Amino acid sequence: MSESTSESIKVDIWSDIACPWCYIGKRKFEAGAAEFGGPVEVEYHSYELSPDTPVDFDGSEIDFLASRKGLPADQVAQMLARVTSVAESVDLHYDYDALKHTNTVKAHQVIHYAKAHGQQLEMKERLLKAYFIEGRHVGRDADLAELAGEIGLDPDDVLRSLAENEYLADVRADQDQAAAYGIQGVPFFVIDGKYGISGAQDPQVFAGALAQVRDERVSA
Amino acid sequence: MTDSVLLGMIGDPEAASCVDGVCTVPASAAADPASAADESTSA
Repeated sequence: MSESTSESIKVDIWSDIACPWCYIGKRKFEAGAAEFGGPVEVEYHSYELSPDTPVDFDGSEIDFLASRKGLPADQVAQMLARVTSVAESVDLHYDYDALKHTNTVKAHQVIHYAKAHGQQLEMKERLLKAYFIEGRHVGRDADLAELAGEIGLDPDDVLRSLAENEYLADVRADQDQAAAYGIQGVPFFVIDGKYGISGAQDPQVFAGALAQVRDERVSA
Repeated sequence: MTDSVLLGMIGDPEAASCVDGVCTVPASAAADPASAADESTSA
């Protein structure tokens, strides 16, 4: 095996916390990477689907979506049920009754904080689980610091970082990069800086893309 | 530094994703595909 084939394949992933397909896509990507079997380096990047969302919303997820999109509440409920069903298929147990809709810009800053401390992947997973499965609030500084503490980060330093907007510029840089790539939706995966994969694709798609990049390196 | 060029796209262009707060439920992703073609919601 040549030296180049032993190097990790970099996968940059743009996603939001308040994005049901991002969590489902994360699981499908992880399954694809496992199927591929080679070394893969993952880095998450910030993408805000609804930056105008308030930190606190006094109502259910269905209330929020119905008021925001003007859709009948029963139709929204059916749609959420379908997303929940697909999530179940990858062993994610979404609880929309408990979910607390919120603005995610602070959560993205915490993910950047965690990256700077070597725990980005753990923080990303913790926030997605907190939001979709546990009904935890992921928009307030205190809640985010508590969640960061649960993966071993210093809650007090996270509070300081959020108060100073220490990583807001990094969030904006990610969003600028997404715009440069022409990314219009998430999840969005960039494999080895070359190929884009949009959406929660089947694991075989990710495995095939990683294999393609590996083969191209061998033949280069 | 901002990169701006991808060599191409891989996979199903209709795969489930969220755009501007609207999350589609394409038929291929729905538990009951016959009744869920291209419906969408925000989440």
